[in-house]
Amino acid sequence: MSHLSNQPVTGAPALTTHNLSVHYGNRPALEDVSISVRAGEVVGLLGPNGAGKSTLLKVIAGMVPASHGTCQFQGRDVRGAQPGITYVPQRSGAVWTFPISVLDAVLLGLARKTPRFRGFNNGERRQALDALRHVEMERFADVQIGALSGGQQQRVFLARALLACGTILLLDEPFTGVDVPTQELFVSLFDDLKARGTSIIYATHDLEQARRTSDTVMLINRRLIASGPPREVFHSSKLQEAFGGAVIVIDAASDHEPALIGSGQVIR
Amino acid sequence: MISWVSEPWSHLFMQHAFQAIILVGLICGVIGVFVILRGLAFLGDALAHAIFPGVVVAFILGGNFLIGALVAAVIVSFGIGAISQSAKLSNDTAIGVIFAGGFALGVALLSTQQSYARDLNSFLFGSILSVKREDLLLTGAVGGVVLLVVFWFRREFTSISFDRSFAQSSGINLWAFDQLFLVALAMAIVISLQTVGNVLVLAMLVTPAATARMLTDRLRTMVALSAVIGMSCGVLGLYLSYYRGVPSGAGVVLVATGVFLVVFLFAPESGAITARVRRRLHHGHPERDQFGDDALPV
Repeated sequence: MSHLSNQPVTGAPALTTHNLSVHYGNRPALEDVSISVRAGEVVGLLGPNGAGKSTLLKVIAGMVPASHGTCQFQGRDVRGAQPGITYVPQRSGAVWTFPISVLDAVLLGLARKTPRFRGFNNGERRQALDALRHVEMERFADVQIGALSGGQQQRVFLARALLACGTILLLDEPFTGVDVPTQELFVSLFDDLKARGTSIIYATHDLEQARRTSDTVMLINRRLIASGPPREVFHSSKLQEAFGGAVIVIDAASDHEPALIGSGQVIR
Repeated sequence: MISWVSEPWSHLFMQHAFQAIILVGLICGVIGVFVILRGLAFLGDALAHAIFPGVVVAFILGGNFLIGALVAAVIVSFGIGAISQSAKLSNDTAIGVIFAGGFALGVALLSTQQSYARDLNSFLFGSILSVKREDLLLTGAVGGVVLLVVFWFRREFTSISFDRSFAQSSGINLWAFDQLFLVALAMAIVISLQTVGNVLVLAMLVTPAATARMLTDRLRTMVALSAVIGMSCGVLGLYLSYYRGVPSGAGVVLVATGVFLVVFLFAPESGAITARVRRRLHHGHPERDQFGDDALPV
């Protein structure tokens, strides 16, 4: 499997949040989260359900306003959707019985850029087919989207995001419920995007996936518990703080590194 | 046969009725596609009932019933939004509360009028045979606005209906477009009230669109089919009404329902019976393949 180099990424931050808090009514979803993401950095947001991972992504995407603190993209406050930031939502939110072909679903990524008085032209269709080719879904262009498997649907979502081609790509649980070939394809696409300077921030529950796929792991449980390269962050105390009782730390004698089991997952 | 077809058209009131039902079939057919794709059938029904007091107030004051209905629609949509903010109540509960309350208010207001029974009856079941030329012009103008809104914002409505989160992240203001859709839907409902009445307007929104969905997996085709089915069922329903003495709204809705049932059972790809037959024809049956037809349970 292709995987990232895990080398520290240097350069000016593309995105920062400062003391960011979000409350849904009286319920706090995020408290005092300060992060910094550089161009070409792949960040795994790791935490249990309800930890605020999706909320943080939505604040960055301009979908949820911060209750306190700031979120800045290229030095400017994020207020509403930004052209350079592309968001890939969780697959479960879409209506998969919707009467739309794979190609038309990808073209929705261009919907706001195309003049209203005309349909999509050949150039735009070629762009969409190109995005589908990147996720190896070109031959499904005319298929009704509900007929695809979960992994294939996730690929279409990624193709739609590639079309918008932002500086920052946000993905909410992209690896959940998808097959291994799709996971491998995503990791290799992350490599390509990273090489082009695109920052990727994705949410996951999967400790092993986060370790393999991220330059930086941010452990979140409403607060930012730890942030740094996976080897620095994956310490038992920090993981236990993030996951509570769900993480059992055991010693793995074979490679003299701690192995962690979180929600049935093993990390070595 | 030709005289059977042409005879109703010899009456001016029937010409107006046909023109009205074609307009309503077209407009409800188009906007109805988004109603069913977003699962808003209950909201459509509720809106039709809840705008009743607005129509009654306009009627009592001698104003334009369309404006009364639109004011009511906006109040109702804000009311539903406010109640559904409560963490303890779901959206459909909020719709249910407002819908029944609004309708009761309309009945109470209308009962103050001397012609209560006749007015209530024509509101509930429509009075298509009393459509005048001015009514047709109003229906055409308002319907034109509804169609223009749906066409102009087709990508936003499609994006919101398919994947709300992505729509929001691409800069579409969900609240504003939900309100716009609600107002457009209220306009479509209001211009249908005279033709099919309050009780049956839901069928014009839902049934042609549902029939079209059984026939295609493409949105554009679905919109076109839904409009054609809505208009055709409207015309056929009026013939049924003319020759059988069935109330016009009921005639139209019965035809639309009949067409839906036929398509539901026999649609080429997805019909309940067609799909069964296709499965039988195309897939081998392990027991039959091994032991012949006699092995199958009767």
